[in-house]
Amino acid sequence: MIRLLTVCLALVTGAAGAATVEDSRGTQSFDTPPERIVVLDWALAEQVLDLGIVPVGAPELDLYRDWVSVPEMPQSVTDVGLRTEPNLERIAALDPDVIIASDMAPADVARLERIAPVLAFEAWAADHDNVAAARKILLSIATLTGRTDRAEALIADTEQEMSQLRASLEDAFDGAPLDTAVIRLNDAASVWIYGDNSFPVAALDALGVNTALPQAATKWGVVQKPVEALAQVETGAVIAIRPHLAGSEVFETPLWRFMPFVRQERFAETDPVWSYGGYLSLLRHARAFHDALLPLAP
Amino acid sequence: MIATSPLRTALLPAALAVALAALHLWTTAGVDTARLAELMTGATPDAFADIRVTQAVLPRIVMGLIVGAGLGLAGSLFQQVTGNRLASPLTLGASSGAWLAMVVATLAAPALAASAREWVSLAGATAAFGLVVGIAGLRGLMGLRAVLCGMAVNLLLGSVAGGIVLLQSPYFGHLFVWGAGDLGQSGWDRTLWAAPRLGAAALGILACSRILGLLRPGAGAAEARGLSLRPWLVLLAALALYLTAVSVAAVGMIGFIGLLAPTLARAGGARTPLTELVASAFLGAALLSGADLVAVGASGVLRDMVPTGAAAALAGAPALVLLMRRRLAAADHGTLEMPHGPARPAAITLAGIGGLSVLALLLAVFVSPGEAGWRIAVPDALTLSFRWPRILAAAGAGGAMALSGVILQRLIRNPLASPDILGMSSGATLALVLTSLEGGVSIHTAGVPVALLGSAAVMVALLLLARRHAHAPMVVALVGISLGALLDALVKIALAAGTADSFALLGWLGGSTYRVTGGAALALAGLAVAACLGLRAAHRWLTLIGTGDATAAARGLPVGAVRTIGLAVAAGLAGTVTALMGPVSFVGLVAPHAATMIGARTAGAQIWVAAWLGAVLMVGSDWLGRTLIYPMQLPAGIIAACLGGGYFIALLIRQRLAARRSGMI
Repeated sequence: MIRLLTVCLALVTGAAGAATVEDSRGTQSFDTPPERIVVLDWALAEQVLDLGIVPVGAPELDLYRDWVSVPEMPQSVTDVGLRTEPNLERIAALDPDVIIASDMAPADVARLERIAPVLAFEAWAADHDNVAAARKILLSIATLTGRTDRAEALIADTEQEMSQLRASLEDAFDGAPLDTAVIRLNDAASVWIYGDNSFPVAALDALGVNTALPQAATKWGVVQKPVEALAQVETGAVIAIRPHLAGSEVFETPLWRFMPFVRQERFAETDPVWSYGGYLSLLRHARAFHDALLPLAP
Repeated sequence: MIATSPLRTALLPAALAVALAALHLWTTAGVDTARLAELMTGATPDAFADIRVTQAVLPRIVMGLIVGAGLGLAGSLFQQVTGNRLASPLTLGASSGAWLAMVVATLAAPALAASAREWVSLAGATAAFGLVVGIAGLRGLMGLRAVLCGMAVNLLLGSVAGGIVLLQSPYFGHLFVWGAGDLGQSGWDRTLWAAPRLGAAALGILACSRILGLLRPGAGAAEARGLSLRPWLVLLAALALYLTAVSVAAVGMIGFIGLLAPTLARAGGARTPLTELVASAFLGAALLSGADLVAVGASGVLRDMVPTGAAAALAGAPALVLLMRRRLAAADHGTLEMPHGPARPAAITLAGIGGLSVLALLLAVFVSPGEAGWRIAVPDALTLSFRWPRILAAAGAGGAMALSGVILQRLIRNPLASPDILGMSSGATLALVLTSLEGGVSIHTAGVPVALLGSAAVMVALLLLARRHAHAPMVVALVGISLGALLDALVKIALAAGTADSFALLGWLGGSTYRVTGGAALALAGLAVAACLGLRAAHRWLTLIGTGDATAAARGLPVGAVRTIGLAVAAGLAGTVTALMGPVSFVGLVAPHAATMIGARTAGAQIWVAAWLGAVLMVGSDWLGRTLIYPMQLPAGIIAACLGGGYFIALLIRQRLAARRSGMI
């Protein structure tokens, strides 16, 4: 009851007031909404940027700009080092109000708490829904920073735009969009295939598209297979997310040219979109897949 | 005993290779036999299943056969040229040299790596092999020394490659898979690229096989007949390196085939150079086909694919130990004389090291880069609370590994013995990686007991095997090499999954102080100090056992008990360090030598000087790791391996040059 009252109070007083947020360890309370935020992975960086917050620190910014690219990382953000070993001294020098991390060992969280209060979320796990977790994290960060309205609007817009995209695809494909598999090329002989519990497959679901090559849920929702495994996509389409690393040479091979989806011209590529990202990356995947599938319509 | 004709010796392996290839085709083709026969005789493929057979399955099988044959041939050639039964592309450093060159070229000059694959690869293989020859010396190639040098070079190159990949990309899965060696094909391009190159080299080798016959009774006899062997040996070594380079460039690193095939060939009765070469080639083909069949089968069952090279190592490492065990009666008596420094440490040297220690400590505590460039400042309480566990853990780990090395070098009487090269660190690492993979727990929390269990298992294996073979250093080295390869295989399977978890694992494998807690740092430092004091008290034992079992026993030393206790302490030190901060290589090898070099030659002096040097090296490496690429960080273990390995190689080369000069006088 008291907690409910606190939450209500926080909602009423808005940005100026106190906030309580649930993380993987329980309820964390903040007297004032934190201003200086450090995030320790790219998914969290996406989440805060999508909420219109510029973090003071985030990890591996050069690689972020290559691999994630959207939302754009402002130049003012300080690089706090590796995602696996964030630089504690640099984080401390940034004097943050809160450090947001996910899937971090308790010992690491305890150490970060010597610098500033920590929100530690559980984001990636084989036995939960990664997309639902991302949605919850987005709302938690919104509560923390007094941007609940904005987050709810973003979620509503996402759902609305995805249903528009879904309708557009249904329209183009006469009600039955092609079954589709989403991959990343690895090298001339192996690929990554997205399966259950991944953002690409969740985006396909939202678009009303069936998965052409279902894979059991894993922590990151992705498995590595030989290229020839793609031949199981006999009547569906395949979408490859760029960049291709060393894999584009596969396009030149006879095996690839004989793939059913290549011969039937049901293959497409998309611009870079980060498949281990924040909640809004669901929409970014949906947009990319919609644009990739539309030209394949009969 | 059945007399075996040369023909039969070669025929049986050939039949085996054909049978395994046929089994591979039958299991993986996925079309019925009649259709398969049609496709093989030129029928036009019309379904994808047909194309898969002609463009994926067949090139894969052929690739397995030719690369396997190439590696078997290269292994046999290396063994015959060096007269060393543990020689192979892997154990002489050539494979990892080729691999590192390909990794660097792929990242730095992709166009070059694509257009001149075999030459990039060959340059790397030659450089690494040259390094091993430079260290071991041409005569040393005959003995265990070359293999230990090769192992050291492998560790060093592996560290460098690991560091590069760690910093490169969130998603360099393809480098991992390729590093583990995979035969997967999606067309004939690669196979048709490799076939003529391997074939030409093989023909060249077969044409030269008469030269190998002259080597058999000993090089002296051949030279007495007026034949200068050196140009021929260089040519044969170059051909073996070329085979290695083409194999690595075509499919990545695949170890063990080149070591196992010639061993099996001799076990099967190959007596002449030519039959050994031919039988090794066929056996190599059979082994790689078999390993690939296992890899394909496992990939069908497991969620992610299993690289062929990992399957080859998983099967090859235990097989090698079993096979070689019986043939190790002839112990390797070659010893490596280390440089003779002064008889006791000079005051000025000690002062120099003291100064260096103070400098390293000052740098580690007070100097760091920041937002506005370098800062020299007294750290505030918070910053200090992050720094001191790392500094203390580095010092403790360096000291403990150095002491482990001192014990092993004296017990095994081999100056190249160290916990990393003998497999103790690998045992601990293997136990931790398996626990983490199986139990799904973070490797940082898998714990000290698991690691101790791993290194203790290696110790027990060493004791058991060594007892039967009168502590032959060869056996010890063999266990180390096999364990190292097993570990490598498992780690590569884990890494090939290429997700963020793999990168965490790779960071841990570098030996990082990042996650060491204050308590663990205190424990490590305490352990090092306790070990130092304990060994100081027992230094007479170490001195005695280092003089030889007979002498030591005559002086009343319970040799068996001392050896067991010594190995247990060495394994315990290495296992604890590995559990708390990951495998730390080279410190245990280099620090004892450096101590001897500056005059700490008695066991009593070597103990504390080596521990001191190890601690300084690690503190300095940790500081460099924290600051070199700020705000990113490199694991202290990787820096220490590069510094220590570089120093060690320079030391050995200098020693060889000095020996040559004095020999000429």
